[in-house]
Amino acid sequence: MDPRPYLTVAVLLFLLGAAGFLVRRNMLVLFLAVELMLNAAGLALITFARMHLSMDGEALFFIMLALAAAESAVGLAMVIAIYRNRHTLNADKLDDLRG
Amino acid sequence: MDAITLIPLALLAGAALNGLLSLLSVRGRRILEPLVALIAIAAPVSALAAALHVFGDVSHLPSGRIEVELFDWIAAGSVNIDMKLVADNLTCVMLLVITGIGSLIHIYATAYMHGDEAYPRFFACLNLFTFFMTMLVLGSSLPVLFLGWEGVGLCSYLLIGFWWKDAKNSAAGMKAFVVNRIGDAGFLLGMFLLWQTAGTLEFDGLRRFAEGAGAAAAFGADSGVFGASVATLACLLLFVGATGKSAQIPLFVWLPDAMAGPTPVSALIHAATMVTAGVYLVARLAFLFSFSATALATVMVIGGATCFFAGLMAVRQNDIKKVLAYSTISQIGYMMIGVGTGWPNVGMFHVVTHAFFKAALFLGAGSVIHACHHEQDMRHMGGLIKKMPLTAIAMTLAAAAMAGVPPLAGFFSKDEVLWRAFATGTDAGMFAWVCGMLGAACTGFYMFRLIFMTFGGSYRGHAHPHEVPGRMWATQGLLALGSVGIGFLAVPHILGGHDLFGSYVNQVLPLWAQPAPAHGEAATEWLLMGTSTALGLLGIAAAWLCYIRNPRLPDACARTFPRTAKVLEGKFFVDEAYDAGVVRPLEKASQGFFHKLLDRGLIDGLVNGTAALAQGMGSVLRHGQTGLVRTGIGLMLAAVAALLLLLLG
Repeated sequence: MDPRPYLTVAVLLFLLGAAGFLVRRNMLVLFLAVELMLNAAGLALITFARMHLSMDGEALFFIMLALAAAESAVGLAMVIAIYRNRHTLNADKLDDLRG
Repeated sequence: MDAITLIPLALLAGAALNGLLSLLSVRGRRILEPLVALIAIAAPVSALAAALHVFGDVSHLPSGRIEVELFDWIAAGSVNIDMKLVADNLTCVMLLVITGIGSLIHIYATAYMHGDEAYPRFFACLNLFTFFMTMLVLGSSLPVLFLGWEGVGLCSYLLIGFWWKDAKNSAAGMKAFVVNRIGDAGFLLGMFLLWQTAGTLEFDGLRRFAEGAGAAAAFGADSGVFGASVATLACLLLFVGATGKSAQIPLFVWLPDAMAGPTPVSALIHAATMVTAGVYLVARLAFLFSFSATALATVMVIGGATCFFAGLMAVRQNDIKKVLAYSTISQIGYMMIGVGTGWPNVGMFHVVTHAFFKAALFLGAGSVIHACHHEQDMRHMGGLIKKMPLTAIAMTLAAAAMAGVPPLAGFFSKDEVLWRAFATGTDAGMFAWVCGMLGAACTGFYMFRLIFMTFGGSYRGHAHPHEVPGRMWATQGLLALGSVGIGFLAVPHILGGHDLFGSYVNQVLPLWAQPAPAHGEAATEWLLMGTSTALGLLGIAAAWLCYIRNPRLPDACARTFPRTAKVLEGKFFVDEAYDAGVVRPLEKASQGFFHKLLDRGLIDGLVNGTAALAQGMGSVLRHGQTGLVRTGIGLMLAAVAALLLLLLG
């Protein structure tokens, strides 16, 4: 099996996520971008699992799904908390650590 | 507990209790004066009782000494110094003087300081001083002696600046402290040299070393400093310390200024006890000085020169306490001549007699100042014999004793000093003898000038003088009686006596260290005795002529010899010379070099420079910290990408 088409998609997905994270300001969108990158990595994992005919990668991907669920729960809770305090979701306004 | 431990302990307890009361009074609580006075007097009096006990014990013991080891004081490798107290005959003499005269002065001071706002603090310091002084004479080794030595210096500083609200008094205290530190540097160096040579600083150990076979070679070896032998260098360095504490040339300048303290302080510290510590040191180490004729000669020359010059400085002073201050310096000169002859008893006897008459004179001066409402200028006194006859009698007796009028105390002690100096037959001895003779004439003159200006003639002031309270005239009267009678302790053989004091004190000096006995013809001794007494009486007569018979004479003399008068009034301009030669250059160097260049430039520069460097780097690097999530993630991604390229490419 040729892994290259799958990996290309994974790389594109990852770059899309990274670019989104760097250029967008809304925190919910940033959150989406993070999910994109996460799933790009998942796709790569499955591709390699298929390539080596091993179930390890798929097992890992299931763990990753659970992790993503937990992460989005915590992350969304933080987003809500920030919105309640600052009344904005613009990430550029949240620069309290500026030197 | 041993009586010997009780002596310093009682005094320390007194100081601690009064110190505690002093702290309470600072916090605004009223402290009962009688309570403070009771503690203050009880401490030295119980120390006196203990000292008498020790004196009795020492006389009965065949070894002639008591030792008590309290604890290990310094234990560091090969250096092991015990806190050990030793009493022998020499110590007993000093102990009795310190606690005996100290008690009287404490009693006097409780009346003199009546109403002072810092009453408890005064007596805390005074008791502490007496404690350190007893430690000084009880110490079994040089370091313990040095502890007392520094302690009395500290208390002297505290008491000179007792009325610290007047900046002049604080300055006088600091001057005393600094000048003493210069001497202490010599003391320390001398101590180090002895340690290096003998490997011990215990007096007993040093003596055993000196008796040992290798001592002559070790002490006689070239020290490498101006070709002096080790013994000479060590003795001279220790003597530098003695000149500081005992106010000898060239370090005497602090003592006249020390008169800024309350008068009982001047009596106890700056006349009777502390300033004689240098004499005690030389007497204690007489066996060491016996190794170096040069050191002994130096002691005699310095003593003689101080004796004469300080005597001259005293003759044109108008402040009653300043006269006594210069006279103290001059009299300590005699003591130094005495110990410089190699016989500790000679100098020590003058210490004892001087303690009596000088304490009496200072207490008398305190009474006069008290009566004249803090007037110290003798030009505004006079005729006080009618107002305060008891003080006048006490002071006159003490002054006569000091001037060497036979058969009062000063006659015996001063005569012995001069005779021994003459009998050494050395150039230094002759120089000291001549100076001492001239000093005797000065003594008679300035003492009776003081008496006549204060008590003779008619009153020239504006206050209403009155006799002082009983406690004050009683103590000064007792001291005056002592200065009349104490001389009989050492009646020389030529006058049919047995020199009890001399044989008592000289027991501490091993036979091998004793100089050759003075061989002189009886006729010479009689002649010398007659001459020195005559010179003293001549001085008294001159004072009578100048200040009773013809009061205009001194001014006429001053007009005829204006230069001489000016030099005498200016005290030979020693203070001015030190100011120009030492103090101001030092101040300039401190300001220009140490302060501006070293402190502000180098040290502050380094410290502030480090801070400025960190600040500068921070102000550049802070721009990287935008606080945006985006920047952080972007940098991270770039870094990971770079890392991947590096690893894979």
